[in-house]
Amino acid sequence: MQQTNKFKTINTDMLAALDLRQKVLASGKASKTRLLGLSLQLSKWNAERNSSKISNAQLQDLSIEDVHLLKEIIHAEIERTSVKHPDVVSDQILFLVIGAIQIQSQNHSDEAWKLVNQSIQSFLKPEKEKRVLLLGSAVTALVAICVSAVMLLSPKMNDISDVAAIDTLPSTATSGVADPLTISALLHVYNKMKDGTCQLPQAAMLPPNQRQAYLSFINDGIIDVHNVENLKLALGYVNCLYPQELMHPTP
Amino acid sequence: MNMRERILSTAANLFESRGIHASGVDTIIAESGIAKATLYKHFPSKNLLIVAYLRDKSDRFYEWLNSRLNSKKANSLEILIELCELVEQWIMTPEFHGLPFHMASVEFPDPTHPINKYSADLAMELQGYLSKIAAKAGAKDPETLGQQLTILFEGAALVERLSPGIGAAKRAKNAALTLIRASI
Repeated sequence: MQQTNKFKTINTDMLAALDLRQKVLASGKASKTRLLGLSLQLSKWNAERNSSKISNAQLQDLSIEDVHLLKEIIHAEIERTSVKHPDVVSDQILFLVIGAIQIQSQNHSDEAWKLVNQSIQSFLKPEKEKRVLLLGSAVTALVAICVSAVMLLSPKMNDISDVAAIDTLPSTATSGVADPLTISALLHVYNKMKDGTCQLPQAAMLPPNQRQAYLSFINDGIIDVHNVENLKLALGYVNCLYPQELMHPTP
Repeated sequence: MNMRERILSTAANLFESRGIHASGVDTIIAESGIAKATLYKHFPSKNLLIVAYLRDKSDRFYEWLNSRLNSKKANSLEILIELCELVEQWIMTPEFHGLPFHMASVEFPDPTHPINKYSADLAMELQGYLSKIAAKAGAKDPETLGQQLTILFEGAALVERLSPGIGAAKRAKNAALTLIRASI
């Protein structure tokens, strides 16, 4: 019999009388099932003692022997698994189990046991299930990467149609003075780029006249009415592709 | 220290060293060196004295914790790590005698008793406090993490009290950190 350092109201090995070890072993073959069985046994036992001892007797706390017994049972089951960091997982389940006994006594609810069971379930997921999950995640990631790559590398339909619209505009622009429809279409393209719906540029590969028209357009929003043809050609090549960061007003 | 604080301090020492039931009003009066009338003036019943003791312990704990938690880390995982370290420190202090509200609920197991009810309220308060920090730190399910940490810390506090110096607090901290990392 052992007493704690300060309190006189300590019993010893309450749990030993329960024949807990045998009950846990009988509850199943897998460690997870057995630990869930332990949780069930303890919650039932605690609920019973809570309801039977509330008359005038004091509810007794666990003793160090009880803690050792729980630790041995939990540790033995965790050792049988291939879980990483078995000591940490054993401790976690041990402290959660002991805490749940206390909280159940405080609030007379088995809510804490649900969390203990959740933890047991999540720590002891079968390896096969873990592998399937990992494989699934890898496949999903691969598919996502492929889809993103396809979307990034192919020009957007809207962008193409915008440029096509510019190309089909009246040829008055070629005479040197742009017509309102061309200006309006170019402004529309500009606003789309500003909204960030465009992709990356090939602007560096443009001939100098087109590049200059393009950069003025991008950087300053200028549509030079005398240089619309070069701008149209530039946009026809780069498909409205330029990041919107350059369009932020300078402070 | 005023008279009320003196009574509370004496009562706390007695409750924590002998237990609540074992510390009668007469012993508290004798130990604090005050008149019976003075005690009843401040605490009209022993239950009110116990409630005041529990409240005072909780307030001091949160005050200590808040003063040490770095507000700069409020929105990150680091604040939860810091919290675990502080709880470990707190459990390891020589003055630690277990969670007062847990001790009270053990001594007053009847769920209809006011002390038992108040203990349950304080346990919920701790859970709420931990959930709030978990939410600030960006936990996916802060309420569940708060509950898990409360259960774990309560378990660790009991083991450390039963067997001081075996490293339960440190092991509990490591277990809590694993829980936290899985929840962010």
